[in-house]
Amino acid sequence: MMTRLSKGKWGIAIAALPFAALLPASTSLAETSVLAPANTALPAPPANGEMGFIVTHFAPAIYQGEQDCPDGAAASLRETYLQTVPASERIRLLDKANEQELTTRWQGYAVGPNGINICTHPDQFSRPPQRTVKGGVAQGLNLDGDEGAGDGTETCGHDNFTSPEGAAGVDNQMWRAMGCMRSWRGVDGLGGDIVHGLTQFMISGEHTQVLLLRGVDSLVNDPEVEVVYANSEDRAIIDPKQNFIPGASYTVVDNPRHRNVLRGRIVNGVLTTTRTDIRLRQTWGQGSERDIRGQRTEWDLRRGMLSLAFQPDGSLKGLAGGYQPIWNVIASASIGGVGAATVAGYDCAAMYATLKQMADGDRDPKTRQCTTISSGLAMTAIPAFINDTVPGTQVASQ
Amino acid sequence: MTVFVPKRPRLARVVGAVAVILGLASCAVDKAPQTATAEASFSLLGEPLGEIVALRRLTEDQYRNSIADIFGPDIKVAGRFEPIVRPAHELISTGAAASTISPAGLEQFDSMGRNIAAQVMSEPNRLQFMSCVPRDAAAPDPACAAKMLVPIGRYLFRRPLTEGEVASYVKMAGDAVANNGSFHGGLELALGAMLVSPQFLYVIESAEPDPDHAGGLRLDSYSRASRLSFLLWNTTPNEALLQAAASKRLMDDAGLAEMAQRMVQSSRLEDGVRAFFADMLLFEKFAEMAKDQIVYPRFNPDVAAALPEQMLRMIVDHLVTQKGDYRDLFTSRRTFINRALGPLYQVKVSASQGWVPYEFAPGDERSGLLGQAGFLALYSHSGRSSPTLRGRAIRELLLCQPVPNPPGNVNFTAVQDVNSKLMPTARMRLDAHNSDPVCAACHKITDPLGLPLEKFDGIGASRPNENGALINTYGMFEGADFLGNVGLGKAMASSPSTTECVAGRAFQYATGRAPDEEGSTTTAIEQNFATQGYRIQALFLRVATMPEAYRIAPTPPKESVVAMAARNSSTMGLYP
Amino acid sequence: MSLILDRRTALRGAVQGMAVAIGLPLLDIFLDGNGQAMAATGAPVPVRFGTWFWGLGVNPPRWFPNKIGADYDLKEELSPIAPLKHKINILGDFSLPLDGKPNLPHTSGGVGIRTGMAIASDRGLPAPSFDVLIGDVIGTRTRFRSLEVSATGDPRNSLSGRGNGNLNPAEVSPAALYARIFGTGFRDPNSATFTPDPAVLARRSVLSGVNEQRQALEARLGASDRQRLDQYFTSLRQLEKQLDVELTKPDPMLGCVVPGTVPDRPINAEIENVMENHKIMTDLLVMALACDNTRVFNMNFNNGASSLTRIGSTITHHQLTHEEVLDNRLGYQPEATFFVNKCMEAWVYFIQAMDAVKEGDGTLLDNSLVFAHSETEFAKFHTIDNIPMMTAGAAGGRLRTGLHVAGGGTPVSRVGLTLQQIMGVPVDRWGAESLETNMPIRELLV
Repeated sequence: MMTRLSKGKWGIAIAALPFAALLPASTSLAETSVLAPANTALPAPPANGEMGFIVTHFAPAIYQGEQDCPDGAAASLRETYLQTVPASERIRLLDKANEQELTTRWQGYAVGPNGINICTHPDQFSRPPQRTVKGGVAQGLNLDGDEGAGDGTETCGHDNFTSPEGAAGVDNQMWRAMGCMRSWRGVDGLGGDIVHGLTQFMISGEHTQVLLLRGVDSLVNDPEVEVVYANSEDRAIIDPKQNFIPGASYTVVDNPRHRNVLRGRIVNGVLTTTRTDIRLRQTWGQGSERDIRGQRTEWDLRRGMLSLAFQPDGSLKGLAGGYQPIWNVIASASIGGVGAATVAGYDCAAMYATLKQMADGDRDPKTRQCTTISSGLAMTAIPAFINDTVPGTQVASQ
Repeated sequence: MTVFVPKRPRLARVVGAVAVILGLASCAVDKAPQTATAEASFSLLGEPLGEIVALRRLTEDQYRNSIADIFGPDIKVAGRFEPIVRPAHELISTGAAASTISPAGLEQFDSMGRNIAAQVMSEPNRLQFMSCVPRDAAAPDPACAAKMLVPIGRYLFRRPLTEGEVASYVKMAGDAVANNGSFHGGLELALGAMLVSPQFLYVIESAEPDPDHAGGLRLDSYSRASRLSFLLWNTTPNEALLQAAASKRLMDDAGLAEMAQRMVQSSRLEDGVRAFFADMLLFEKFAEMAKDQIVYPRFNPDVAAALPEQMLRMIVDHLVTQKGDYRDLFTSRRTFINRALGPLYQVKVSASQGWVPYEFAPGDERSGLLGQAGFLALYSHSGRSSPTLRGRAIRELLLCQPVPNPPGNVNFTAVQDVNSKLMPTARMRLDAHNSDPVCAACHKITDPLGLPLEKFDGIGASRPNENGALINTYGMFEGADFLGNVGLGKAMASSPSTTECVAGRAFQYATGRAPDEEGSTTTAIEQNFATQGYRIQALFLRVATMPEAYRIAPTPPKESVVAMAARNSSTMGLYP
Repeated sequence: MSLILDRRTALRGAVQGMAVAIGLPLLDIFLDGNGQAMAATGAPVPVRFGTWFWGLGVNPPRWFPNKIGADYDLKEELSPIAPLKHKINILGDFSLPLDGKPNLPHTSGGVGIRTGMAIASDRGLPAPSFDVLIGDVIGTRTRFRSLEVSATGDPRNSLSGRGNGNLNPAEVSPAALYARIFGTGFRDPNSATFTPDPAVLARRSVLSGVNEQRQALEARLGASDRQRLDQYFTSLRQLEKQLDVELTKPDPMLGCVVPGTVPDRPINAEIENVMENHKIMTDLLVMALACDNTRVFNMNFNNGASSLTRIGSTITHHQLTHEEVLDNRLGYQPEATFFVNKCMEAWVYFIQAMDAVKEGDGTLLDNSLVFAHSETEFAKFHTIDNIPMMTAGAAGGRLRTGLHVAGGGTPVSRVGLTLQQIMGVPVDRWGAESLETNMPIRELLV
């Protein structure tokens, strides 16, 4: 009667799930927008020009446009499988009495020759892509400096989005590819599992991101600001309701690879950095030594940039963007292995196929295939004290 | 299994059977390995025990420190300690001198004792404590049992055992073999019995006739060793002290002074000073401190745990490590901080782990003992600050001036309405409350010392204003007016009541009794404290060596409350 | 008498019609006035401790009461406890800080509650679970130090053990559980023979030795200190009396009735079958307690990553919590919630079975402390703060009941500490790192 999977495999399966988001509907969209402070006066920066922040939210930027997914959400593996059989067979399988047979079949659809599965080896399956976002509005940044299709020697052609505020040229093919998945998109103003999961990892201290601004003369306009964007080994200090507590101290990691030094400028209360490769540590949580959970991966944001607005309450809100290797976008599901497919119902092969199709950066000169995908990430940060142990003169690897 | 590296050398360890003699000439009494001399460890008490003049129950820390010193820190003490009741306006250490042990409390002590005995007698631990092998592990062996119980008993009872005691414990060990069939099991039971015995659970002070005061008594030699040890290091006497007691060196003033001097110079004085201030400042209240999670989301268990520790670190660093003037404790800008406390103070903490020294900038409102968040939070309500509780704590704990309790039928509506638009600050609310002259009489005593601290909220965090209104931090003490915590600290530092109070408390802490009614003892301590620049070492040395502290009046001393209160009420009379 | 009849009915149902004769007259004459102690020896009725575990949490807004303290309100998912609400405490709003260790889904929560430690990797219990520590105190003199049972068929469905990966495996078969308890070796508490425990005899004689030192001390005492020392020796005498009780033959256990045998039954995770197996094993366990063959138990209803299924569906409870979309209008997942309701139904069966056994003027439940908990708060997100927990029973009057206690975000190890203290474990501080605590939940202490 039971599906016979070993206890260990269940565990792995669950590990793979990025957990759903429960952002208050009223704030989730606002938080992911670049909102230049309108008329509210911003305070003067500290005399030494140094401002520290702890990043409290860093996850795919969600925008739920009404016409985004006219054919419905991206299919689960069970739904995908049912589409592969003739209509009459589909009707038979959907009969309650045949539930067990259907389960065996669709779960078998997750596995290929030699025991490989669609989540660990999605590139070795040839499966159709999933439903993508058809709407024209999404969060994100103009990463290629182009408001057109952007087909070039380095880049691949893509449809730009317009930002909710009306800015043209937004590059966010990651959202285009993944934004119809239930676990990304969420419903009713609530972000999907991935948003909640990534936030949870920061709260639990599995990885910590900090920002240190130097040489700030004005929060409104400053042509030259240095931004240290780094990880810290220090866990988040949170209150009993799991909110980050402002004014906590964090020390920048020793590893220079995860200490990015960016050049920025402040225009009209918005800090924007020039495009630089950004690397940050990332843990897909839930780890232990024994199994494949808890693998450390990286945020690898090529030609990445930040666009963060100073808020009157002292926090920063805005977006990060960059071109991510497409594997990184499904790292969570890949690490989860077959469980991601059979427990969460992820069709990783379809996800991979879609990402490959939508990829718009770092064109491989030989295959002509783009290998990275433009990504928009929502980001918030609140004041903190940052100990920067690495000499300030060091420049991040280019 | 975790193996602990003992920080403290265990006293009862037997190295071979031969041990190094630790002469008193050694300049580091506390640091040399505490291995017993064969002769001292195995000797029995030669003279009859004297009249008991005080029974002071071991505090939890004293119990734990004793076990760690005697058996090593890897022996775990697990159990609940029956709390010692603090007499009103007094110290727990005076409460200890009147403390009984309830059935539930003794059940806990019994269970802890058996647990410790089982650890000590487990393999391979017991090899460290035994210098002999029984002829038959399943039969009684009185000689071998005595070889273990006599030296351990000397440490536990803080004096050599009497012949009768040795016979009794050896018999217990032997009888038990009949029931459990194991020599070591028998020893375990006998050791457990020692640990639940009143001779261990109480520090028994006994006396002998005082040759200098006819009809009077003075503390005997071993009681003096215990007095010095628990007062200065908050633990059981070590080998050097027990030997000094055996040789009667502690009976003459010079010998006593020499030993006390050396102990005061040791870094282990920190333990004594910590215990004293934790007692004087009512630190047991931290265990029950609760803060409203909605009002103070920043207050979490890590913060709660750090607050008392921060105060003790500040106190010990200033008084012991820096050998600072006690008065400067109220103005010092130096403290210690850890990551948990960083957000509360809103300062950068340079270390990811542990405690680091921190110095506030000159002119920062955050200075002195009263500016520590622990003090400010402890004397607040769960959801708001309290100038009255803070003022009262300063009066009672730091100035030794008891404040009467409020009458039972007070209307607190005005003070409790913390969101009042009409009265946005605590000062305004208290003014309204004090329109009742009955209330005003006491609030005049407390509030002028508490209101200067109003720029700190109920968890001791800085606040620029209250309900949007400016905070007036005007205060007054002994006729001088001032502003804020910095002004209050200076006023405290310059008041003779401050130093008199700590001097009196130290005497009380050492002896378990209040200074005499005429105040001549206090005056003498206070004068000595002054000439020594208000150094804590000098104060502790004085109360550890003054002959009055060891003298027992011919009639039993009365309960101490009266003496303290009488002296203080006259001081209180100065303030309208 | 009516309670006894209910008990009989339940048992009969449990063993599928094989009626069991429960015809013992109630010998109330043996009970003294307050019912807490047996008249003959003054021996207290034994106090039992047990856990009842269910996996995958609840829908917090539909389960936790709004009102803190006594007379708490019952929401939809908690409503089945209504008949015994006055004997049940609801514990919520405690936290399980992980100190940077990973949140191992369906593992970290249960292990954290039981061991007071955040587990670093999925290698079994990192430390003794506190039920074992309690068993070391109250379970040493019964035939079984503890009994572990799992209703879903997986013997590894257990959160009880000594640490270092050791796990007390759970009994999964009702028939095997019957044989284990009532087969060879069953110790009838009402039989004639009694052998005093030699270890207690030895302790008793040692305490006499301590008492003998009294004279030597008193000879040196003044009047006021003599009074205080008197109190010490009164306390000592009390301790001796407690041991005397242990050295006396205990009184008959009136509720102890050996049930008839149990047939072999299917063992799987299909919910209706699990419910039935849980009922039968509950009844057997309750009799093991009433016959004093054990004083400690661990009943695991379903496992952490619950493999419960429904007839006609292969999607497990666990899969549902992840796959089923959170209905934003309902605010919960209806299909997954079906299983939450089943868990609560089983829990109520369990405590009603205990409450149906009369002991003195109370019940077996009154003389027990049953700690029920899950391993997540809300399974979809694997949250481990605010994990739902309950206690049932008054531990022989040592525990206040009928309360909803909110921990205010304090560490969940306070629960383990409090329950250990109530059951007499000499512990003042428990847990590791951020879970280390010395603050028992005072509201619960009598």
